[in-house]
Amino acid sequence: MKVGTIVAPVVGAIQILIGFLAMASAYLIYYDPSSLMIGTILSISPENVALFALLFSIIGFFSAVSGSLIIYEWVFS
Amino acid sequence: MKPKSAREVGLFYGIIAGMSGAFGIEFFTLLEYSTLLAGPAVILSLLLCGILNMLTMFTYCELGSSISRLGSEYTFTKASFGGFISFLTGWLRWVACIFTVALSAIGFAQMVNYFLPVNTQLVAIFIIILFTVMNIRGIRQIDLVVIAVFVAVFAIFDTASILQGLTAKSFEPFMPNGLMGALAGVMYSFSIFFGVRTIVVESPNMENPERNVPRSIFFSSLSLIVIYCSVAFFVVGAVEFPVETSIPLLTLAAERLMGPIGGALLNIAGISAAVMSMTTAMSVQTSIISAMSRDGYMPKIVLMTRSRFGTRYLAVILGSILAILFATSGLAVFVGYVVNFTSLLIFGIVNLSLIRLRKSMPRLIRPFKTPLYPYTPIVGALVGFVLLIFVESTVLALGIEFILITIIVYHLRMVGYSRLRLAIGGINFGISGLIALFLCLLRLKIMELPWLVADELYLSYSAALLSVLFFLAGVLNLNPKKKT
Repeated sequence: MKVGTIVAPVVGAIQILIGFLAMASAYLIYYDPSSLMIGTILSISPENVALFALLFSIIGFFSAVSGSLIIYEWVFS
Repeated sequence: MKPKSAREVGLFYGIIAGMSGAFGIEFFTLLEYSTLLAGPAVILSLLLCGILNMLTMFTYCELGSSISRLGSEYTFTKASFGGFISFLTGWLRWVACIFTVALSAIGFAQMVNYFLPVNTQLVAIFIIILFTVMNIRGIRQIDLVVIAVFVAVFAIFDTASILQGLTAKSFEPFMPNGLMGALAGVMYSFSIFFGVRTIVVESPNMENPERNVPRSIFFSSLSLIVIYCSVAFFVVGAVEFPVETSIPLLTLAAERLMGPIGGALLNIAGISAAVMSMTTAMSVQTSIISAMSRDGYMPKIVLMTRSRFGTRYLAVILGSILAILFATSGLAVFVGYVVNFTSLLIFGIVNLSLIRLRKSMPRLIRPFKTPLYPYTPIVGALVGFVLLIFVESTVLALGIEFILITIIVYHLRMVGYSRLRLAIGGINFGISGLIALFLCLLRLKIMELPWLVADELYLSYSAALLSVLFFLAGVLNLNPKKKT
């Protein structure tokens, strides 16, 4: 299927990118480097930091895995 | 010509091996916070740590002599439990090594900062990259002279302290935070003695290992208890608490007792310790991830990627990237907690492995048997698990999250390719639906998020696009072309 062959690498690549960005965001939210002030920008209260970090890391992890599998299939099929 | 026997070293080598394994950056970096938790009772905490560690080392010894001479926690749990428990143990040990690399890098940077005003995070990154390159090139040899330097520096420190004299006033109150504070100190100092396990790894090279290995464990543990407790005793005597300076506690105590030369000496010993810890942790993390790849728990690509120096560079680089992330956080106390948290969990699981193996394989040849069985492993397992309650709440939360991720990774790895694609497809649909639901709730003003107020239309389109993307990914994952 032509459409699938075109869509798959685009979706896979965007998912990998989103995955890594989400995991990096989780890391930055958790450690909240003073120069970036991520927590302040996103108005995350200190008690919700762990929850947001967990949410971002889980979504990021699955997004990266999903994107990798799509790219893997596209490359080797 | 008769080949030279591999077993050619005796009791002395065993003691040296145990001490060299335990002489690491942990003592330099963890003592400060342990003292904050326990007060002068840190001496008692260290004594308890040393004794409890020695008891569990006998468990290591039995498992190492009966299962694998090149034993590790992963091998022990694989033989006794297998499946998820062995995967979790290997995974925990791997993480402990990565955090040890991070802790060593932080400690190294702090010590260098004593001599030169440098950016500690940049120094930590630099030293990890340097050791990554060294590991890829296969340079791991550390001169035993470093151990002699280490002992000599502590001996000078103790002598100077005795010459200065200490007043009993320094040790009052002995337990400012009570018994719980002292136990929290035990929890936080546990990994200081963890390196004695090197004796079990080195046992193939020892003469009469059935006799020399337990003796080596006993004598090296005893030597470490004497060295560390005496240093802690003099540190508590020399420094008034609370300490309000960025200088590491040991360095500060040495400065008080011997002036700038003392501070410099302790920092040199600290830098040597950081180098030793980092070298060991990097090589152990590589061997663990390689062993797990061999057993199918990790992608085989880790085994395939060998540099021209014969080292698995992908495993080294992967561990180093993670170590840099944790080292740059600058949270030395947090990293220290994680190292101890994982070490205690591993200790508990290894003790349970011994009990399980005694029951499941009663006829297994055991050149060495743990004394006072079953009390020794039961006490070891209980101590390992009970001390976890003293961990900081954020680390405990991270630990639980980490174990949940381990369960997910294990099952994703074990279910097979087709089922994995189905599961990931379903998760993608779930995420897509959740994003769409949130978008609807926000558009209908049923739910409000402060940072999503501005530029509403732009954010709505982005969220809708994200939802569509995850939906498409779900479709693509549910219709895999390749099935292996």
